[in-house]
Amino acid sequence: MKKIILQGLALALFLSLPAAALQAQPPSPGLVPLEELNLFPRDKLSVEVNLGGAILHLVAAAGKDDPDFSKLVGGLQAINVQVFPLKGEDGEAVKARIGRAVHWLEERGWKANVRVREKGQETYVYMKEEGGQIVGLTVLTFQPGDEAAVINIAGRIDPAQIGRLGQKFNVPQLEKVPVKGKKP
Amino acid sequence: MLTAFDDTAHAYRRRIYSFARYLLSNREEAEDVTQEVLLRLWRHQDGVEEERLGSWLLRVTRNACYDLLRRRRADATQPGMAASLGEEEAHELVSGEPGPQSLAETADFRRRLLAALGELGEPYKSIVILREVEGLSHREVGDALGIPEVTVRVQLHRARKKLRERLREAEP
Amino acid sequence: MNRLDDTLSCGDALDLLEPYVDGELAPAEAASLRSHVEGCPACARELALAERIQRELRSLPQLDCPPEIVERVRRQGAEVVPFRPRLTTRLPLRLAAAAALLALALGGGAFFVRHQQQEAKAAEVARATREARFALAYLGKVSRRTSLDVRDEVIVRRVALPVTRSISRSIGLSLGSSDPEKP
Repeated sequence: MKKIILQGLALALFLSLPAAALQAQPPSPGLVPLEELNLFPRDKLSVEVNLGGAILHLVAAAGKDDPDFSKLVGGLQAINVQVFPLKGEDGEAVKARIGRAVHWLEERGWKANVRVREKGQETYVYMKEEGGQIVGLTVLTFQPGDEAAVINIAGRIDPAQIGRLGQKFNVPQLEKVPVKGKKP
Repeated sequence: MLTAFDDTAHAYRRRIYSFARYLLSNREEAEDVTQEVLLRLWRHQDGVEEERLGSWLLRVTRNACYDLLRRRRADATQPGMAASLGEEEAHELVSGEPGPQSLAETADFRRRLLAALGELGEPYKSIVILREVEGLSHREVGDALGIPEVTVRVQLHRARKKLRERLREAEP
Repeated sequence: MNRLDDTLSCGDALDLLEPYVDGELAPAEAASLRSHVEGCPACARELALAERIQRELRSLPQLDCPPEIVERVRRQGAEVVPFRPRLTTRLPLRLAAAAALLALALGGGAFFVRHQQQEAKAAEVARATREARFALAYLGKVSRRTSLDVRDEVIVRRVALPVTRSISRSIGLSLGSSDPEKP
């Protein structure tokens, strides 16, 4: 009997924190369950990243020589990425699923910051705000003939940190966030 | 030392497995699905609200079962394989408390009932399993399958009517 | 066969059997069905079958799987997963120092040690670090591909200003600059 091949297992080091502490941690409103969006066939992904709060705290602790990176990551509850190569695939079907994902986000209060469609490529940047704080960032992108991807980052996303990291990691669309009294 | 994941997984594993088992009529595949669903629980445990956990797990279970059934159909060398109960499954599932009828007659009725259940389409099959076998309320079934409670009631009646019609046709 | 005072046809009666079995019929309808069934052996057999189906379904056992499945899942979840980026990563590799890991272990709660050596944990953290940096760098790659003019204008107008204003309000400062592009 054919067994289900379990692929793309999450990289997780599970901290044995007290049960009460674990249960007290509320789920992040900025987390998008990529499982439910069902954007891409998981066995064909070229990249899959699934990092939860536990491992991200370890990453933050281990990266003290890079304070900006460490501080950003320490405030996050999840980083999830899926990259799907489009060669030989039905691009229109993928675009349609991206469109449904966009609707999914908008139905749940995500706000579009960027919606770009040009020369067949599409990019959507959505953010979730709560109480003046950005708690989620989701990017959906489609590059015909190349790849499609979804990136979801959930947790405390500080615009000042994003701006600085934008320079470091070449994320220029975020680097011009003005913050009073601080240099980018 | 048990962790929060262990507690949750043990609390729900029976429901996940039982649901998958009745959907798939196959022990090994039901175990595979249970493992896959619990792995997803592991991965998403921070992102699912506790009060929605039960319905989320059932929904993921159903989707995983149907993914597997689709793959099974694509691979099947024998048509109709999906609907039939293996001998082992039949023996285990029919060996419950007998009614007033004789043991043999009860076992036979149950075997025919399970076969008819296996042939039901969705959402009828899931609704019957969750409501009648697993004992969920109409509302819980609706939450799990993403349909209104009133729809659950109507479709449950339709499902049992289909079972009745099939059993009547298959009467010896 | 219909009785003179039975307003239900057999077809109608059969449609009502399941709601009747569930106790969901209005009293008058239930009475009408009972009345029909009393005088119709065929429908009486169908009702008996409908009741038996529900009874048998409800007596089916809830099945259980070996509890070791949970253990297996936990082991699999904690396994190091091959990270297979298609891009050639230019991200600097930062291996987690064993001392930093140990310091975290002492200060931050008990580690759940099952099958991992300390070196394996450090490798996992290093891998997770690369993945996190990859994610952020991929965001950069996406942004470079997309038009900067549109993005900057939208980001600044739609996100940066409202968020910054709310932040500044909350800390009692005011934005002096009228130029959204100036930090």
